[in-house]
Amino acid sequence: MLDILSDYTLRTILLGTMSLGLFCAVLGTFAVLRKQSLVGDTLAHAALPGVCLGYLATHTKSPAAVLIGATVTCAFAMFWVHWSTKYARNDWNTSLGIVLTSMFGLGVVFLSYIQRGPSGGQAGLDTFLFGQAASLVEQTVLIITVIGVLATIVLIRIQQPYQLLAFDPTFARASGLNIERIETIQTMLLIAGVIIGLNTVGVVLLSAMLVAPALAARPWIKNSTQLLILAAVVGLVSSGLGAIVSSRSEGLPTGPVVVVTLAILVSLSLFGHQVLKSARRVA
Amino acid sequence: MNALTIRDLTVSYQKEPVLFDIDLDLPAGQLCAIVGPNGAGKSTLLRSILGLQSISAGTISICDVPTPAGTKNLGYVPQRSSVDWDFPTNVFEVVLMGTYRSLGWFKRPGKIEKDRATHALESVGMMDLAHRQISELSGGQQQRVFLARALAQDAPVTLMDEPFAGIDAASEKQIFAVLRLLKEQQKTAIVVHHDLETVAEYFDHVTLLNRRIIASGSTTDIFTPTLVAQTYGFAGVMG
Amino acid sequence: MNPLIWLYIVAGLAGLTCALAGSYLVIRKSSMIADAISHSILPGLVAGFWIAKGPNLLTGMIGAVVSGMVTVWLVEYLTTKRKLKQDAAIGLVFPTLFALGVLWISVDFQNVHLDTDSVLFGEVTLAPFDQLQIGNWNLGPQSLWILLFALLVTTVFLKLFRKELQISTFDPTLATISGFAPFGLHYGLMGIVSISTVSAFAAVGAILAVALIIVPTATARLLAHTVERVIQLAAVIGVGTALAGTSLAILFDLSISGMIAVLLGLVFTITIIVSPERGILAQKRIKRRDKVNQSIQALLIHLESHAGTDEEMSENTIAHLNSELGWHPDWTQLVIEIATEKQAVIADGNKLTVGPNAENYWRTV
Repeated sequence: MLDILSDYTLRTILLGTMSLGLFCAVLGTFAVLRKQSLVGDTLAHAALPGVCLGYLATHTKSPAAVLIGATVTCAFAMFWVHWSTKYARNDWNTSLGIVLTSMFGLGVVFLSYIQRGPSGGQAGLDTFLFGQAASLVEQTVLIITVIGVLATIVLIRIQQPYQLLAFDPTFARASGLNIERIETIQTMLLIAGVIIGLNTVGVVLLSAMLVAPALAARPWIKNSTQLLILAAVVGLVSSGLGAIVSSRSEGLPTGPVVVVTLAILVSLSLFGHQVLKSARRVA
Repeated sequence: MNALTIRDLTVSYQKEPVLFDIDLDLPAGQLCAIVGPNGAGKSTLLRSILGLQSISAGTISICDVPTPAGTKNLGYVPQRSSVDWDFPTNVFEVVLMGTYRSLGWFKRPGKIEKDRATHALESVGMMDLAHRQISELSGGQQQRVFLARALAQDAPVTLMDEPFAGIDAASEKQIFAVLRLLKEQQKTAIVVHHDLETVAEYFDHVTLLNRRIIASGSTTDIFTPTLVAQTYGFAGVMG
Repeated sequence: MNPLIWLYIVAGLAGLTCALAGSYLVIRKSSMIADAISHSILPGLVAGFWIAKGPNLLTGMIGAVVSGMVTVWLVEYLTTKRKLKQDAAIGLVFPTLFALGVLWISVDFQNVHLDTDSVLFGEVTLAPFDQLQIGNWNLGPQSLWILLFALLVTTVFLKLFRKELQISTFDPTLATISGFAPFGLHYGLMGIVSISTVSAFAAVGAILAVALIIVPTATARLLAHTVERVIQLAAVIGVGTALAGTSLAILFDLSISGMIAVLLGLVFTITIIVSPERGILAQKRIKRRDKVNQSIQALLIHLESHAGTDEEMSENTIAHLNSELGWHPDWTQLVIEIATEKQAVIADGNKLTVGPNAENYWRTV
């Protein structure tokens, strides 16, 4: 354990992954409450065209350009989902699916354009899809940690009205809550989470990072504050474990290890809870 | 012949019994109401008869045929909220679904089935809306489509789950006319009903249910203030 | 044969197969299951390769279909038995299976060339080069035969179980008591979606397969009123966009998969706007028509209530109406214009009287 803490690279990866795990867990708790579990997945895919646009505009992989590009396309995707759900009388998940695939397709088109160009081939699609925790540097970790901590504070501050909104939207509106503002704040935070998560675990695995901690925590809690805390702990522990295991074994990527750890925790939680419940019923 | 015979039916959810030791005989060829307060187990009883609910004990026969085989004698009018009204289909196709059981697997509905559906639609006065998209129907029209579908099923016994809930006066009249039509054809309707005021007017036979059978028999005998009050757990409901 | 023609054939076939397979999935509001299946194909693919001790297409495909079905079962189990919301279950299951696939590759297949990103994107451009050889016969691209097989299975399933699918989707209870097992049909349907996704992803990539499964039906639903029509229209949209996307991509030398997905999104969005009955423009027109009619009714009520009274001369004049009815002068003018044109009112100089066609406006109430 000590040699991990003394190793600079490992320490960086560990810190980055864990703060991401914490942040995703907290964010995901909010998303799960509002039945928006797949929004994170959609946003993650919608970031691709933004990343490409950022690159096309500046011809560098500067984090700022990528960040701005991804924020813009994610926000557009969110608008598109709401718009088509409203006017096409689609169910929410169909709208998510349509926007997810179209935006990702747009990203792939941009990529094919970039790769054709003189500096092509270096766009690093692999990194985008699967993340690369191993390449985390101190500066990125610092950004993740700062954004993560700030966002968590904001989330905890809007927690109460948000619960009301998730539980009874009509009552929330009637009691004068500014629903649009809360929703916008939450969506902006989700976008932030997705973008910093892309670096570490990539598009595909991000949705598990968001959803799984809340699902693992849910059977054991009595109110949503406990849910938030327990989910945060699950997120921290599993991402920490994932980072350590993958650093110890040759060639195991961090993201997948974290996700599998999370899945094991969820299964243990669900079955453990059931075993306890039936044991109690017999007694 | 009995339309429905139930012996010793007990149904439990998890720890708690919802229906206790139900014994019930409903005569054929009559309009039968099942009445009781919320949580009395009316829907559970209906689901048990339909074979959708696993039961702890008891036997159920429809037209003297024990379930599950007896289920083929059942027609069914669900609560309106239980289906997807956005499903892309029109009135005629929904009514045609009533004939599917008689077709079995794979076979397509032919002229006989289409005639049955047309006839059923005429009986509820909806023929002119046959090609209307179902999402564009009013609540009363939706209910009439379901009734037409039950008519097209052409089953000796039809179960109805609150067909009069939340509809306009014209549709209520139309639905009652269909009930009488069923009776003319010597068929049985078993209706879960919530409106105490119309029970005496619409139904020949009443079953008062609150977890147990409180009473069951002809409306004039059973539908008395005392028994109704006993069912609902308070006195003086009938003024 | 010219490889370009093969490109069009493969893309068109993928569009047709996926659109057909996706029809009932979208109608049943389970679109995101397709997304889940498309990602969790990976561990099945790896398992297939592992069994065959190398990249064997057949075992890989079978493994992929199986893992698609495992995904469906897991999601089903978590939602019905563990009471999770469907989207939460999906969001948990597919990344987990995908992660298992990635880990398995990194442990066992470090040396075998298995591009995880080409699993997700695929590239139609490569499709013609994997030719199926039996003896001396060249039977065209492999992916073509796989797609044809998937198309056959899908079409037979949809034709054979046409009424059963319809009834069990619209009213599962009636389906059950009519003796049609919704359970079996559900897994049959999911099997079709899995087979189509797997066969299409080999040619066009997983993400495009999902786009082709969801979007054509979602678009067709805006235009058609019955299941049969929705399915037919979805097939047309699927094939049409696939062909158009392919030709655009070739023209501008861009990714074919990406182009088709973008085009699908565009077609869907444009349909929302211009669809003749449910489109935004049509709805706007209807709203405006209603508003005009309601205003004409209000105008008629006003005119009638003052007709034959002493104040008629002062009340029933255009100038007076603005203040009386609280309308903007432009709106008043428009309403009177339409009303006189339809002969609902008659304008005599400044004075208005009820016209011969006023009756028509009462019937519309």
